[in-house]
Formats: sequence, C-alpha cells, structure tokens
Amino acid sequence: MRPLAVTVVLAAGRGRAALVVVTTAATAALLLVAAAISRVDGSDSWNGPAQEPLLAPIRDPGTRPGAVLTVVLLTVPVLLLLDQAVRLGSTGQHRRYAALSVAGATRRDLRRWAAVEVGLPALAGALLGVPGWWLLREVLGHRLAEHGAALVPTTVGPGPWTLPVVLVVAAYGALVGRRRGSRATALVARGGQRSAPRPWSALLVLVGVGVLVVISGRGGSSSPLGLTWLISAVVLVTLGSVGLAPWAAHAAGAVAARRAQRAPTLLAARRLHANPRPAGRAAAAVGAVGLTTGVLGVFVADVVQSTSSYDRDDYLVPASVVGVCALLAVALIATSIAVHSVETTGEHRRETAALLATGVPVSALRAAQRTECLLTTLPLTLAGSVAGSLGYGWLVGASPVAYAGGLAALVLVALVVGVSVVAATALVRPWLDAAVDPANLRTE
Amino acid sequence: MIDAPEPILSAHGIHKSFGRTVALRGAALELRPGECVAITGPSGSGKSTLLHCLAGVLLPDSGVVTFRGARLDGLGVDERTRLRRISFGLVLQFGQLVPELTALENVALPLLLEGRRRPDAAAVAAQWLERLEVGQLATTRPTAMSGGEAQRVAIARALVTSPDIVFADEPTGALDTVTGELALDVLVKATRETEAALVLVTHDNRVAAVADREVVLRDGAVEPGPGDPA
Ligand SMILES: Nc1ncnc2c1ncn2[C@@H]1O[C@H](COP(=O)(O)OP(=O)(O)OP(=O)(O)O)[C@@H](O)[C@H]1O
Ligand SMILES: [Mg+2]
Repeated sequence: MRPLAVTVVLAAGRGRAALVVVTTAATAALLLVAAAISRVDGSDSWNGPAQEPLLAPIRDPGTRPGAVLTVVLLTVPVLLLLDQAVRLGSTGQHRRYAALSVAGATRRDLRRWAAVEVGLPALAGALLGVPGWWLLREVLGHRLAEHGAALVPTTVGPGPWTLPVVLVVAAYGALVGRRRGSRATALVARGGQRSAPRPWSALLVLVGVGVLVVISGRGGSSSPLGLTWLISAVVLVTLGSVGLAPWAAHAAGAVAARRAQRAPTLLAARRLHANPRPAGRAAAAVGAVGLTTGVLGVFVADVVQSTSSYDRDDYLVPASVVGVCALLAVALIATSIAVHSVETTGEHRRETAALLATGVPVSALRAAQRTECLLTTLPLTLAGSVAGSLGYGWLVGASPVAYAGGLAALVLVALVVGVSVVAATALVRPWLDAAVDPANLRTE
Repeated sequence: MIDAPEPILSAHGIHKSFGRTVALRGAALELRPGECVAITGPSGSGKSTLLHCLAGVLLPDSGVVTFRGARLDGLGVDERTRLRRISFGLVLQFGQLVPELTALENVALPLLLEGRRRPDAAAVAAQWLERLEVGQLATTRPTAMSGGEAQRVAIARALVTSPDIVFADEPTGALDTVTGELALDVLVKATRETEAALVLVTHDNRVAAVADREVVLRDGAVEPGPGDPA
C-alpha cells in the first residue's frame, strides 16, 4: 500500500505536484547561487576570489550585495508560478475537503493535509535544487569562465549553509500549501466568494515615498543609517505596489467593462473585475520587470555614450545578464498566467460550453483570454518601464539620448510581454477546446 | 392539420453514440414555424442529445437535420455557431449565464457579437429584461440571483436576437414547482409573442400539457403517439 502522504499528494494532481517540484527546485538553485555569491570571500571559499575570473559586479565587494539581491529577486517570478501551481485544482480540493470534513476531518487536519500536499513535493524540489545549483555552476561557472567571466562562483562549494536554504524553500512550500488549505476550508465553511480587494496597500507606498522625501531632504543616503532608511523605503514602496496590484486590476476591470464595445473585451474586463488577484500579482511582477528594463535602457545608453569603449564591457555584460534574466522572468510570468487560465477554464467548463452552445464563437473566447491578460500586464509594463527610465535618468542626470535607450527598452519589453501573453494563451488552447465540449453541458 | 406549412426544422434517422452508449437510434422530428413541441421520455432516453443535435450543438453520427432547407452538417463550425446565435435560442436547466457578467450584459452579449453598438445592444437587452419582469436585475450578477430570476434572464438572452426557434432543456428542472410554472409560462408566452417555435425537453407531464404537440422518446427513438397518423 502507498504511504498516506504520497496518496495525499497524488490526490492533488500529478501536474500540480510536478509544477511544485520544478518551481521549488529552481528557487532553491537560485537561492544557493545567491548564497554562494555572498560567500565568495568567506572562509569556505576554496581558492580565494583571485583564482576565479568572476564577473566584475560579483567580484567587487562593493556591488556584490546588489548581485545577490538581483539573483534573489529572480526567484520572485518563479515563486509566482509556484503560487499559481498550488491553486491548480482548487475546485477539486474544495470538493475533496468538503467530503473529508463530512467524514470527520477537523479543519486542523485539513490544513495539515494541505501543507503535506504541497510541502512534500516542495521538499523534493528543494533537494533537487542542489543538483540544479551544481548544473548552474558547471554551465554559468566553469564553462563561462573559459570564455571570460563566470556568473556563478565555482570556488564556493556546498557546506553546512546549504541545508538551511533547502529547508527554507521546503518550509515555504508547506506554508503556501497550508495557507491555500485554510482558505479552502474557510471557503467550505463560508461557502461564499472572496471580497473585493481594497487599496489599503497604498498607505505603504505613501509611507515609503514619505521616507524617501525625508531622506533626500536630509542630504542623501551616504551614511549607513541613511542607507538602511533608503532600503526600507524601497521595500515599503515595493510591497505596497505589489499589494495594490489586485485592487488596481479590479478597478481597471471595472473601468474597462464600462467602456468595452466588443464582446471579448467585455468578457475579459468582467472576469478581471471578478477575480483580480492572480492577474494583479502577475501584473505587479511584469511591472517590476518593466521597471528593471526601463532602468537598464537608460543605463546602457548612458554607458555607451559616456564611457570609453575599453571599460564598456564591465558595465554592459552585467547589464545584458540582467536584461536576459528580466526577459526570462516575463516568460515565467506568462506561464503562470497560462496556468491560471487553465485553472479558470476548467472551473467554468459548463459556462464555457454553454457560451459556445448559445453561439459565442471559440475565437471570441480566445480573444477574451488574451485581452484579460493584456489588460493588466501591458499598462503595468509600460508604467514600470516609464517609471524606471525617468527615475533612473533623473537620478544620474541622463542626457536626452540616454532616454531614447529607455524608450527602446520600453518598446522591446512591451513586445516581449505581448508575444509571451499570446504564446501563453495559445499554449492553453487544448484546455479551452476541451472546455467547450458539449458534454460539459451535462456536468454540474 | 389541413394546411400545414412547410417545416422550419426537420430531422430524420438521427443516430448518435457516445463510446458504447447509444443515445439516439433513428430519432426523427419535424417542427413548423411557431409550433411548440414537447419532447418527453424517461431519463436517459436521449432527450438532451436529440435537442443538441437539432440545435446544431452536436452533429449526429448519421441522419440529417435541416433548418430552412439547409443541412446543418453542411455548414462549417463558425456558420453553425452563428446560426445558434442568430436563428436559435437556447435555454438550459441552469448555469448558462456568464457568472462575471451582469444580467444586462449577459442578454446583450449575442447582440455585441453581431457587431451592434454597446448602447443599442444595452437598450434592446434592457427591454427584454423588462418584458420578462426582471428589469430591476439589470446590474445584478447571476450568482446573486434566485434560480427563477436567472432562468428569466436566460430566457431574455435566448429571445434577444428574435430567433426562429427556441430550444429549452428542462428549463424548469432546477426550480421549485411554483417558480417553475411561472418561468414556464413566461417562456411559452414570450416565444408565442415573438412567433418563434419552441422545442421543450421535459419529463414533467404538466409542462408537456402546455405544448401544441408531444413527442415521446424511448431508448433513443420516437414512440408513435396517439395523435400520429397510422
Ligand atoms: N457526452 C456524453 N458522454 C457519454 N454518454 C453520454 C453523453 N451524453 C449522453 N450520454 C448518454 O446517452 C444517453 C442519453 O442521454 P441524454 O442526456 O440525452 O438523456 P436524457 O433523456 O436527456 O436524460 P435526462 O432526463 O436524465 O436528462 C444516456 O445513457 C447518457 O448516459
Ligand atoms: Mg437531459
């Protein structure tokens, strides 16, 4: 007989478990890389940094924290995908939990079950993160070092610090599962819908901006205390913006629904209005990518313009690394949108089949799916990009030509986001085609 | 009948199987303009399957369905979808409204798909909601409606394009007796007023009694009724 834990995990769906394993493995691998970078000068580094041709921002102790932060931030879109994966099959989970609670399971049992459902594959994924890290070390470490400079330090090997990283990732997975579980049980108890998001997070943004204003009034962030305040302010603004995103999506949905002239737009806007959280989160992540590329556009143009060609690579190589990572992040976010789309399509099989039966063409349904994704991601990409370009340009006093770099980055990232969304919705086409099957008119 | 007009819809020798299950074996039906036909029969006799074949939602394995002389299987997927949107109306037992749209938007949807401007579509939809006595629900979402209210909205959506035929599959099946009878009255009255034909699937004899004619299905074929010519 199968152990109970395995049965629990499999009941939640193989696709879901696989996605959880993949995303936690990627997260653990990235975090291990970040930890390794932070330990380049540490006592457990084998040969010392001098032996290793590391990329300048990683080698230089002054910029190293920034490099670590960049790698850590790379986990955000991956975690977004994890979050979306955990939502997969939530209708089934709902039903299973309702049945289990009828059979006598307490809410605490159910929460523990939910934690196991996700925690176990998360532990497996976190452990797989170690070979994943090794792979990154081989490819982005040893291989790249042969061609110039390594992105991943190869002198820092696994040590006692590896275990906590793995455990943190596994525990995070269990936590996400548990939260999902308590939401499901609460929904079973309330049997209702979640309330609309509220814009309270705007307060965080306001406080953060206030702190920024005060710091700049006091003469900048040169002191360690000033730096701490600056970082806190940035964290506040970031958290606030992320928290605000679902409300923004909700509001944008309402506005778009009122103005929509065509049926797909109306459908998309109303769906967004009714269920703004996943789209909002994805949009916040895309907004962050826009911000990054906006900064990058101005930065690169500025470097090309003002630096002698001899020094350029020191700046341009890390910039292009960040750029590639940003575009990869867009692909990940688009995947999380696709996963969400599969989920809602599955949940609304009957309604979807009824739409087709009453004469709504599948092409309109596909257009609605695309529009729903673009409605939030595109504006936030543009907003992030503009904010990044203008903010960074203002900070360094960039020339008008450098702003042209920002504009180019904006066009590029908007294109990538658009193409990714279209690709993601094309990816979920089989699920939509399955949902419109008239057999679904028979299901409840 | 003495001077029966040409049938608007006719189906002959309809066979349909799902895997090993044979749902229809040689079912047939003719529908004249404005006529109200009830399809009855025990559970699993193929009523819903026949309705889906008549409405072009499903294509039969063999047999022919013609609407105004054109074979449904001769139309492309998009043409059939458009036919269902324009010339047919469909009312199901439940769960046919888009949960995220308001009542008004649900009813206006087929018109928007036809390229009508939003204000026009909304005005026509509002008239229909009024006619079905659910005008006050215009901005309500289906999740906040009672079953009877949702059915009235669904009837409004089925009629908003002034279809030639309305297909209804157990439209009162999910409602209590009183609400069900009211909704049925509304459906029959509204289709009569628009001179649309009505195909009504039901296993409720009282429902069948309001129809002009009753067709009884058993094991996927039509039972010869008392009114049929021998
Ligand atoms: N999509 C499908 N897949 C498998 N079997 C099906 C499908 N649709 C119908 N059937 C089978 O075909 C037969 C006829 O089904 P149908 O739904 O048409 O009956 P019905 O007369 O409408 O029954 P009820 O009164 O219960 O609604 C049944 O045996 C049913 O199980
Ligand atoms: Mg049926």
